Amino acid sequence: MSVIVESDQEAQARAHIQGLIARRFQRRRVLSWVSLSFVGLALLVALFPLYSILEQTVAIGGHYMRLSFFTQNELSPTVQHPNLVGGINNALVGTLIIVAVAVVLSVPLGIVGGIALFEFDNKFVATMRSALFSILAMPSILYGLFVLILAASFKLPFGAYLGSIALAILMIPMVAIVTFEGLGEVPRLHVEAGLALGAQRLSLMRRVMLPEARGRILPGALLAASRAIGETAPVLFVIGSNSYTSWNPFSQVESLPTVIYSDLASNYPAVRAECWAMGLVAMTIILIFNLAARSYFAWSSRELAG
Amino acid sequence: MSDNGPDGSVSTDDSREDSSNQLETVELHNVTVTFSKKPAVRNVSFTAKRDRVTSLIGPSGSGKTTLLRAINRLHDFNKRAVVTGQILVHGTDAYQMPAPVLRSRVGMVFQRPNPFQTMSIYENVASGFMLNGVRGKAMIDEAVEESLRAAVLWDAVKDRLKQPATILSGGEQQRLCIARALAIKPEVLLMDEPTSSLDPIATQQIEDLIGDLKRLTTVIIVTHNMQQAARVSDDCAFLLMAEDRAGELIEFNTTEKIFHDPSDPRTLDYIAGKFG
Repeated sequence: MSVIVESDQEAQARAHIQGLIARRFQRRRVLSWVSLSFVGLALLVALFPLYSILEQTVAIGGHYMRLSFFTQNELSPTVQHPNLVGGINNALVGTLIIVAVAVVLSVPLGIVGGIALFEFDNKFVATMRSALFSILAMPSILYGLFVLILAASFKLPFGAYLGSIALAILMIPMVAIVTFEGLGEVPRLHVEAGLALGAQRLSLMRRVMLPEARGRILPGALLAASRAIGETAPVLFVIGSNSYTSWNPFSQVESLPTVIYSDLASNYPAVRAECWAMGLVAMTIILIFNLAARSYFAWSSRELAG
Repeated sequence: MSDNGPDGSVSTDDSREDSSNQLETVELHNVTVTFSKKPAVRNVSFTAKRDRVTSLIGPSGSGKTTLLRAINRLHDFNKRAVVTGQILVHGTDAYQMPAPVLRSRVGMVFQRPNPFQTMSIYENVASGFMLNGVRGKAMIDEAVEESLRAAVLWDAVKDRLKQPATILSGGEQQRLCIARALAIKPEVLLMDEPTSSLDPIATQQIEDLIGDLKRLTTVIIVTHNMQQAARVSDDCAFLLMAEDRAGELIEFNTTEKIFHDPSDPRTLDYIAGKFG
């Protein structure tokens, strides 16, 4: 009999708990709906400015998207020909040269720096690590000033290479940090497998850790490069100006963001309108870099997962 | 009865046995491992002999894995870990030689298969050479085939050596890790619960393999599974946590003695499943 009494108690207790849950359910459903609506509204508020910039850029800049815009150099309109704006070949090539050289300078240094951050575990390196994180928040015009002072002190002629140096200084901490974080994500078990075979730190780094962290490091470097493409201030003072296309890193060049910066002050409406087109081009390049970074990351995580 | 054990080949050549007894062993003398000054295992002494499989058994927290990792100095990377006592690997003090040299002579197989993700099957087995900067294609090719055969994996992978190691099943990956450890011909092979993440069939295959491995190297295996210890090992060390949570060696003897006639009542209780 005692069994039946116990199960009666059990049934009562169950009914009580289920009743409590059912009564709470309605309230929780309403609460959940209200909070989700709030989140959705916040999202709309956040996206609206982004959307209107994008819409404006495509609406105005879209008209310029024809081949000659990319192949011609910029022209100076006159009162007789106020719409003579030409193309962006010189600025586009300038940007690509500046960023390419900056990548060549910063990626190897950044990776080596990230390895050092990871491998040496002492007070100095720990300080460096937090310093690197805070340097990312530095106003980028300081990089431009630094390189300007560098050029003035050593009497260096203006040119694309100085812009590359400024952007490289900007990118090195970013690459170092993604390298450091990527290495930290290599599973302990894989590191120990290498150590247990007698590997020393350097060969373990080269053969196991860097290859496994590649899926984090390369997208990080691409994202750093895509940020550099849009940077105006670091290159503004030092790259000079050039209305003709030049592939020489030591010549003066234009870059898309600096041309936008100066053209916005123009008296000619056509020149100001052209800025949107250049913005659209820069945005598209950055989008391509981001998509490439994402798909490389996805591809390499699939590779690693097998 | 226990000295020559079930292995007839040892007893046929007594002189070799005598000379190798001293050198071809792993000797632990009063080994203590502490983390942040708290002992995890204390005063463990035993000798793992060549041509025999030695198992470390005991409940969770008794320090089996900690002890195993002291033998190839994996605790070196933990600043809070201190290993005292003496460990002799084939007569040489493990802590008096460069750690990478020791580790190339003492192979290890881990709890979960851990092939190198970015390497092919071939590169994984050859990684012991590559990571130590040793070249020589002919020698490495031969070592890869030999160790894959020893790990009973050659026939399954010989036509896809260039493919990534991650295409293999869990059991195959673990045998690949065994082959990887064997390729550079270690004198000792440490196995840390090598079947704990595998299904029963893969476990069976690894257990069959362990019996053959002792002809190549001294095998020391940690297992939480007493039946496994009984099946694969010739000698057995039973560890148990003392009151201060430090693991201590309760008994070391032949597996047969430990499982059928243990001298310590605590061993009997553990074997009989009364705790743990």
